[in-house]
Amino acid sequence: MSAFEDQVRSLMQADRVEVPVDLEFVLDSGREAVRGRRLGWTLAGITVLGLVVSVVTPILIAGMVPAVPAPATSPVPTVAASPASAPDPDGITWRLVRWTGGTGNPNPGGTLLVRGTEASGTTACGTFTAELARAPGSWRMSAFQLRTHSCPLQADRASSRYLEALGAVTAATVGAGELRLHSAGGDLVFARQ
Amino acid sequence: MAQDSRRDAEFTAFVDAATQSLGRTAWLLTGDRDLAAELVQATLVKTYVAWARVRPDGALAYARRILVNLDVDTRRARHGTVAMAEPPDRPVEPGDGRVDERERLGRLLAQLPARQRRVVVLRYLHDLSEQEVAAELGLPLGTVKSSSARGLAALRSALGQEEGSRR
Repeated sequence: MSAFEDQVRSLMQADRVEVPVDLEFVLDSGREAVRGRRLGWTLAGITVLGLVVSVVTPILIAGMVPAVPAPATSPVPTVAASPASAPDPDGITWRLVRWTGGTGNPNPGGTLLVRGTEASGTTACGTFTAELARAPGSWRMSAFQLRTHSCPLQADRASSRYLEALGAVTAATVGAGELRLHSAGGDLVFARQ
Repeated sequence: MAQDSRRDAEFTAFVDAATQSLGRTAWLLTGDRDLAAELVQATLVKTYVAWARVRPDGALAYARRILVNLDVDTRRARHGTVAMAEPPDRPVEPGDGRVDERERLGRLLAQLPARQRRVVVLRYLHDLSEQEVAAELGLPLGTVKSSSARGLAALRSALGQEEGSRR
Protein backbone atom coordinates (compact mmCIF):
# COMPACT_ATOMS: atom_id res chain seq x y z
CA MET A 1 0.00 0.00 0.00
CA SER A 2 1.66 3.26 -1.07
CA ALA A 3 1.66 6.44 0.92
CA PHE A 4 -0.30 8.10 -1.86
CA GLU A 5 -3.04 5.52 -1.64
CA ASP A 6 -3.21 6.15 2.10
CA GLN A 7 -3.44 9.87 1.41
CA VAL A 8 -6.31 9.40 -1.06
CA ARG A 9 -8.14 7.10 1.32
CA SER A 10 -7.66 9.48 4.20
CA LEU A 11 -8.94 12.45 2.21
CA MET A 12 -11.97 10.59 0.97
CA GLN A 13 -12.95 9.26 4.35
CA ALA A 14 -12.19 12.39 6.35
CA ASP A 15 -14.88 14.74 7.61
CA ARG A 16 -18.59 14.63 7.14
CA VAL A 17 -20.17 15.41 3.81
CA GLU A 18 -23.61 16.88 4.19
CA VAL A 19 -25.79 15.93 1.25
CA PRO A 20 -29.36 16.92 2.10
CA VAL A 21 -31.98 14.19 1.79
CA ASP A 22 -35.71 14.89 1.97
CA LEU A 23 -36.93 11.77 3.74
CA GLU A 24 -40.62 12.61 3.25
CA PHE A 25 -40.06 12.98 -0.48
CA VAL A 26 -38.22 9.67 -0.56
CA LEU A 27 -40.97 7.88 1.37
CA ASP A 28 -43.79 9.42 -0.69
CA SER A 29 -42.07 8.61 -3.96
CA GLY A 30 -41.25 5.13 -2.76
CA ARG A 31 -44.83 4.41 -1.65
CA GLU A 32 -46.16 5.67 -4.97
CA ALA A 33 -43.72 3.49 -6.88
CA VAL A 34 -44.67 0.47 -4.75
CA ARG A 35 -48.36 1.11 -5.42
CA GLY A 36 -47.66 1.44 -9.14
CA ARG A 37 -45.66 -1.76 -9.12
CA ARG A 38 -48.41 -3.64 -7.25
CA LEU A 39 -50.99 -2.35 -9.73
CA GLY A 40 -48.76 -3.41 -12.60
CA TRP A 41 -48.37 -6.90 -11.15
CA THR A 42 -52.12 -7.12 -10.58
CA LEU A 43 -52.87 -6.14 -14.17
CA ALA A 44 -50.22 -8.52 -15.44
CA GLY A 45 -51.70 -11.30 -13.30
CA ILE A 46 -55.19 -10.63 -14.61
CA THR A 47 -53.88 -10.64 -18.18
CA VAL A 48 -52.04 -13.92 -17.67
CA LEU A 49 -55.09 -15.43 -15.96
CA GLY A 50 -57.29 -14.35 -18.87
CA LEU A 51 -54.90 -15.91 -21.36
CA VAL A 52 -54.72 -19.14 -19.38
CA VAL A 53 -58.50 -19.34 -19.10
CA SER A 54 -58.96 -18.62 -22.80
CA VAL A 55 -56.53 -21.42 -23.66
CA VAL A 56 -57.44 -23.97 -21.01
CA THR A 57 -61.24 -23.65 -21.09
CA PRO A 58 -61.70 -24.90 -24.67
CA ILE A 59 -59.35 -27.79 -23.87
CA LEU A 60 -61.35 -28.73 -20.78
CA ILE A 61 -64.65 -28.43 -22.63
CA ALA A 62 -63.30 -30.54 -25.45
CA GLY A 63 -62.27 -33.16 -22.90
CA MET A 64 -65.73 -33.27 -21.31
CA VAL A 65 -67.83 -33.41 -24.49
CA PRO A 66 -68.17 -36.94 -25.92
CA ALA A 67 -66.31 -37.43 -29.15
CA VAL A 68 -68.35 -37.13 -32.31
CA PRO A 69 -68.63 -40.56 -33.96
CA ALA A 70 -66.40 -40.96 -36.94
CA PRO A 71 -68.16 -40.79 -40.26
CA ALA A 72 -69.13 -44.07 -41.87
CA THR A 73 -66.47 -45.65 -44.03
CA SER A 74 -68.93 -46.40 -46.79
CA PRO A 75 -67.71 -45.04 -50.12
CA VAL A 76 -70.96 -43.13 -50.41
CA PRO A 77 -71.74 -41.03 -47.35
CA THR A 78 -75.27 -42.02 -46.45
CA VAL A 79 -77.81 -41.42 -43.77
CA ALA A 80 -80.39 -43.99 -42.70
CA ALA A 81 -83.64 -43.46 -44.51
CA SER A 82 -85.49 -41.94 -41.66
CA PRO A 83 -87.73 -39.04 -42.43
CA ALA A 84 -86.61 -37.46 -39.21
CA SER A 85 -82.85 -37.68 -39.73
CA ALA A 86 -82.11 -38.20 -43.41
CA PRO A 87 -81.76 -35.50 -46.01
CA ASP A 88 -85.21 -35.15 -47.46
CA PRO A 89 -85.50 -37.03 -50.76
CA ASP A 90 -89.03 -35.77 -51.32
CA GLY A 91 -89.91 -33.61 -54.25
CA ILE A 92 -86.80 -34.54 -56.16
CA THR A 93 -86.87 -36.47 -59.41
CA TRP A 94 -84.30 -39.19 -58.98
CA ARG A 95 -82.81 -40.81 -62.09
CA LEU A 96 -81.69 -44.44 -61.93
CA VAL A 97 -77.99 -44.67 -62.74
CA ARG A 98 -76.91 -48.06 -61.42
CA TRP A 99 -78.26 -51.36 -60.18
CA THR A 100 -75.77 -53.33 -58.15
CA GLY A 101 -77.82 -56.50 -58.03
CA GLY A 102 -78.39 -56.92 -61.73
CA THR A 103 -76.46 -56.93 -64.93
CA GLY A 104 -76.29 -53.37 -65.99
CA ASN A 105 -78.98 -50.73 -65.76
CA PRO A 106 -82.37 -52.46 -65.54
CA ASN A 107 -84.11 -49.50 -66.96
CA PRO A 108 -82.12 -46.75 -68.55
CA GLY A 109 -84.09 -43.59 -68.17
CA GLY A 110 -86.12 -44.88 -65.20
CA THR A 111 -86.99 -42.23 -62.64
CA LEU A 112 -88.48 -42.03 -59.19
CA LEU A 113 -90.29 -39.20 -57.41
CA VAL A 114 -91.47 -39.48 -53.81
CA ARG A 115 -93.87 -37.19 -52.00
CA GLY A 116 -94.84 -38.25 -48.53
CA THR A 117 -96.55 -41.61 -48.80
CA GLU A 118 -96.69 -41.60 -52.58
CA ALA A 119 -94.08 -42.69 -55.08
CA SER A 120 -94.23 -42.23 -58.81
CA GLY A 121 -91.91 -42.34 -61.77
CA THR A 122 -91.26 -43.44 -65.27
CA THR A 123 -90.09 -46.63 -66.90
CA ALA A 124 -88.98 -47.32 -70.44
CA CYS A 125 -92.57 -48.15 -71.29
CA GLY A 126 -94.72 -45.74 -69.29
CA THR A 127 -95.36 -44.29 -65.86
CA PHE A 128 -96.21 -45.72 -62.47
CA THR A 129 -97.45 -44.78 -59.03
CA ALA A 130 -97.13 -46.66 -55.74
CA GLU A 131 -97.79 -46.29 -52.05
CA LEU A 132 -94.74 -45.59 -49.96
CA ALA A 133 -94.37 -46.64 -46.33
CA ARG A 134 -91.32 -45.14 -44.60
CA ALA A 135 -90.07 -45.59 -41.10
CA PRO A 136 -86.62 -45.34 -39.58
CA GLY A 137 -84.59 -48.05 -41.30
CA SER A 138 -87.49 -49.12 -43.49
CA TRP A 139 -88.67 -48.15 -46.94
CA ARG A 140 -91.33 -50.16 -48.73
CA MET A 141 -93.33 -49.49 -51.87
CA SER A 142 -96.49 -51.37 -52.74
CA ALA A 143 -99.71 -51.10 -54.70
CA PHE A 144 -98.03 -50.24 -57.95
CA GLN A 145 -100.27 -48.89 -60.66
CA LEU A 146 -98.93 -48.80 -64.17
CA ARG A 147 -99.78 -46.78 -67.23
CA THR A 148 -97.92 -48.26 -70.15
CA HIS A 149 -97.77 -47.91 -73.84
CA SER A 150 -96.61 -50.37 -76.41
CA CYS A 151 -92.84 -50.68 -76.54
CA PRO A 152 -90.20 -53.10 -77.72
CA LEU A 153 -90.00 -56.39 -75.87
CA GLN A 154 -86.57 -55.77 -74.43
CA ALA A 155 -87.68 -52.40 -73.03
CA ASP A 156 -90.81 -54.00 -71.66
CA ARG A 157 -88.73 -56.60 -69.80
CA ALA A 158 -86.41 -53.96 -68.43
CA SER A 159 -89.41 -51.95 -67.27
CA SER A 160 -90.79 -54.96 -65.45
CA ARG A 161 -87.42 -55.69 -63.77
CA TYR A 162 -87.28 -52.10 -62.60
CA LEU A 163 -90.72 -52.24 -61.05
CA GLU A 164 -89.95 -55.61 -59.45
CA ALA A 165 -86.76 -54.21 -58.01
CA LEU A 166 -88.65 -51.23 -56.60
CA GLY A 167 -91.16 -53.60 -55.05
CA ALA A 168 -88.39 -55.56 -53.34
CA VAL A 169 -86.83 -52.50 -51.68
CA THR A 170 -86.71 -52.70 -47.88
CA ALA A 171 -84.57 -49.72 -46.93
CA ALA A 172 -83.07 -46.57 -48.32
CA THR A 173 -80.21 -44.23 -47.69
CA VAL A 174 -80.01 -40.67 -48.89
CA GLY A 175 -76.70 -39.02 -49.46
CA ALA A 176 -75.40 -35.92 -51.11
CA GLY A 177 -77.11 -36.01 -54.48
CA GLU A 178 -77.71 -39.72 -54.24
CA LEU A 179 -80.61 -41.98 -53.27
CA ARG A 180 -79.79 -45.60 -52.71
CA LEU A 181 -82.61 -48.15 -52.35
CA HIS A 182 -81.60 -51.43 -50.76
CA SER A 183 -83.10 -54.84 -51.39
CA ALA A 184 -81.99 -58.42 -50.99
CA GLY A 185 -81.22 -58.52 -54.65
CA GLY A 186 -78.99 -55.46 -54.68
CA ASP A 187 -79.10 -51.68 -54.60
CA LEU A 188 -80.79 -49.30 -56.95
CA VAL A 189 -78.70 -46.18 -57.13
CA PHE A 190 -80.32 -42.91 -58.19
CA ALA A 191 -78.86 -39.48 -58.83
CA ARG A 192 -80.62 -36.12 -58.80
CA GLN A 193 -81.96 -35.40 -62.20
CA MET B 1 -50.95 -1.62 6.43
CA ALA B 2 -48.95 -2.90 9.40
CA GLN B 3 -46.46 -4.32 6.97
CA ASP B 4 -46.12 -0.92 5.28
CA SER B 5 -45.60 0.79 8.62
CA ARG B 6 -42.90 -1.67 9.55
CA ARG B 7 -41.26 -1.16 6.18
CA ASP B 8 -41.28 2.62 6.69
CA ALA B 9 -39.80 2.31 10.16
CA GLU B 10 -37.02 -0.02 9.04
CA PHE B 11 -36.28 2.08 6.01
CA THR B 12 -36.17 5.34 7.97
CA ALA B 13 -33.60 3.78 10.28
CA PHE B 14 -31.61 2.67 7.27
CA VAL B 15 -31.70 6.17 5.77
CA ASP B 16 -30.40 7.65 9.00
CA ALA B 17 -27.51 5.22 9.00
CA ALA B 18 -26.69 5.23 5.31
CA THR B 19 -27.16 8.81 4.16
CA GLN B 20 -23.66 9.94 5.15
CA SER B 21 -21.96 7.10 3.28
CA LEU B 22 -24.19 7.39 0.22
CA GLY B 23 -23.88 11.18 0.22
CA ARG B 24 -20.11 11.08 0.34
CA THR B 25 -20.03 8.50 -2.48
CA ALA B 26 -22.43 10.54 -4.57
CA TRP B 27 -20.48 13.72 -4.07
CA LEU B 28 -17.18 12.07 -5.02
CA LEU B 29 -18.78 10.52 -8.10
CA THR B 30 -20.57 13.64 -9.30
CA GLY B 31 -18.43 16.42 -7.89
CA ASP B 32 -21.62 18.44 -7.48
CA ARG B 33 -23.70 18.89 -4.36
CA ASP B 34 -27.06 19.18 -6.09
CA LEU B 35 -26.42 16.25 -8.39
CA ALA B 36 -25.24 14.25 -5.40
CA ALA B 37 -28.45 15.04 -3.50
CA GLU B 38 -30.59 14.03 -6.48
CA LEU B 39 -28.59 10.84 -6.90
CA VAL B 40 -28.95 9.89 -3.25
CA GLN B 41 -32.69 10.57 -3.23
CA ALA B 42 -33.26 8.56 -6.40
CA THR B 43 -31.16 5.77 -4.90
CA LEU B 44 -33.19 5.77 -1.71
CA VAL B 45 -36.50 5.66 -3.61
CA LYS B 46 -35.34 2.64 -5.58
CA THR B 47 -34.06 1.00 -2.42
CA TYR B 48 -37.43 1.62 -0.74
CA VAL B 49 -39.26 -0.06 -3.62
CA ALA B 50 -36.98 -3.09 -3.37
CA TRP B 51 -36.89 -3.08 0.43
CA ALA B 52 -38.77 -6.38 0.78
CA ARG B 53 -36.00 -8.13 -1.15
CA VAL B 54 -33.09 -6.38 0.52
CA ARG B 55 -31.27 -8.20 3.31
CA PRO B 56 -30.76 -5.89 6.29
CA ASP B 57 -27.03 -6.60 6.44
CA GLY B 58 -26.66 -6.00 2.71
CA ALA B 59 -28.82 -2.92 2.40
CA LEU B 60 -25.97 -0.41 2.23
CA ALA B 61 -24.10 -2.38 -0.42
CA TYR B 62 -27.36 -2.79 -2.35
CA ALA B 63 -28.06 0.93 -2.21
CA ARG B 64 -24.48 1.73 -3.22
CA ARG B 65 -24.80 -0.49 -6.30
CA ILE B 66 -28.01 1.33 -7.22
CA LEU B 67 -26.27 4.67 -6.72
CA VAL B 68 -23.35 3.77 -8.95
CA ASN B 69 -25.66 2.42 -11.65
CA LEU B 70 -27.81 5.53 -11.47
CA ASP B 71 -24.68 7.63 -11.82
CA VAL B 72 -23.83 5.70 -14.99
CA ASP B 73 -27.36 6.21 -16.33
CA THR B 74 -27.37 9.90 -15.43
CA ARG B 75 -24.09 10.52 -17.17
CA ARG B 76 -25.31 8.75 -20.28
CA ALA B 77 -28.43 10.92 -20.20
CA ARG B 78 -26.30 14.04 -19.85
CA HIS B 79 -24.13 12.92 -22.79
CA GLY B 80 -20.89 13.20 -20.92
CA THR B 81 -21.34 16.63 -19.40
CA VAL B 82 -18.68 16.90 -16.71
CA ALA B 83 -19.66 18.56 -13.51
CA MET B 84 -17.06 20.71 -11.86
CA ALA B 85 -16.32 19.90 -8.28
CA GLU B 86 -18.06 22.07 -5.79
CA PRO B 87 -17.62 21.59 -2.07
CA PRO B 88 -20.64 20.29 -0.22
CA ASP B 89 -22.24 22.17 2.60
CA ARG B 90 -20.28 21.83 5.77
CA PRO B 91 -18.86 24.12 8.35
CA VAL B 92 -15.58 25.33 6.95
CA GLU B 93 -13.03 26.73 9.26
CA PRO B 94 -10.59 29.26 7.90
CA GLY B 95 -7.18 27.79 7.24
CA ASP B 96 -8.44 24.22 7.34
CA GLY B 97 -5.80 22.57 5.17
CA ARG B 98 -7.54 19.19 4.98
CA VAL B 99 -10.63 20.82 3.58
CA ASP B 100 -8.57 22.45 0.87
CA GLU B 101 -6.97 19.14 0.05
CA ARG B 102 -10.27 17.34 -0.02
CA GLU B 103 -11.76 19.95 -2.31
CA ARG B 104 -8.79 19.57 -4.58
CA LEU B 105 -9.27 15.83 -4.56
CA GLY B 106 -12.94 16.25 -5.42
CA ARG B 107 -12.05 18.58 -8.26
CA LEU B 108 -9.43 16.22 -9.63
CA LEU B 109 -11.70 13.21 -9.29
CA ALA B 110 -14.28 15.01 -11.39
CA GLN B 111 -11.73 15.20 -14.17
CA LEU B 112 -11.12 11.45 -14.23
CA PRO B 113 -13.00 9.29 -16.73
CA ALA B 114 -16.20 8.00 -15.16
CA ARG B 115 -15.10 4.37 -14.85
CA GLN B 116 -11.79 5.28 -13.21
CA ARG B 117 -13.59 7.59 -10.83
CA ARG B 118 -16.05 4.87 -9.78
CA VAL B 119 -13.30 2.35 -9.25
CA VAL B 120 -11.16 4.77 -7.20
CA VAL B 121 -14.12 5.89 -5.07
CA LEU B 122 -15.27 2.35 -4.29
CA ARG B 123 -11.71 1.19 -3.72
CA TYR B 124 -10.56 3.98 -1.39
CA LEU B 125 -13.69 5.48 0.08
CA HIS B 126 -15.32 2.16 0.88
CA ASP B 127 -12.15 0.10 1.26
CA LEU B 128 -13.42 -2.54 -1.14
CA SER B 129 -10.98 -5.04 -2.57
CA GLU B 130 -10.43 -5.10 -6.32
CA GLN B 131 -12.52 -8.27 -6.51
CA GLU B 132 -15.36 -6.61 -4.61
CA VAL B 133 -15.21 -3.55 -6.86
CA ALA B 134 -15.30 -5.80 -9.92
CA ALA B 135 -18.35 -7.60 -8.57
CA GLU B 136 -20.12 -4.38 -7.61
CA LEU B 137 -19.52 -2.66 -10.95
CA GLY B 138 -19.89 -5.81 -13.04
CA LEU B 139 -16.46 -5.31 -14.56
CA PRO B 140 -13.64 -7.80 -15.22
CA LEU B 141 -11.00 -7.85 -12.50
CA GLY B 142 -8.33 -6.77 -14.98
CA THR B 143 -10.37 -3.72 -15.95
CA VAL B 144 -10.74 -2.77 -12.30
CA LYS B 145 -7.02 -3.15 -11.69
CA SER B 146 -6.06 -1.06 -14.71
CA SER B 147 -8.73 1.58 -13.98
CA SER B 148 -7.58 1.82 -10.39
CA ALA B 149 -3.93 2.16 -11.36
CA ARG B 150 -4.60 4.73 -14.07
CA GLY B 151 -6.99 6.72 -11.91
CA LEU B 152 -4.52 6.80 -9.07
CA ALA B 153 -1.67 7.77 -11.39
CA ALA B 154 -3.75 10.56 -12.87
CA LEU B 155 -4.58 11.88 -9.40
CA ARG B 156 -0.94 11.70 -8.31
CA SER B 157 0.17 13.51 -11.45
CA ALA B 158 -2.47 16.21 -11.14
CA LEU B 159 -1.77 16.76 -7.46
CA GLY B 160 1.96 16.89 -8.19
CA GLN B 161 1.44 19.47 -10.91
CA GLU B 162 -0.68 21.58 -8.57
CA GLU B 163 1.97 21.30 -5.88
CA GLY B 164 4.63 22.30 -8.41
CA SER B 165 2.69 25.30 -9.66
CA ARG B 166 2.16 26.49 -6.07
CA ARG B 167 5.86 26.53 -5.48
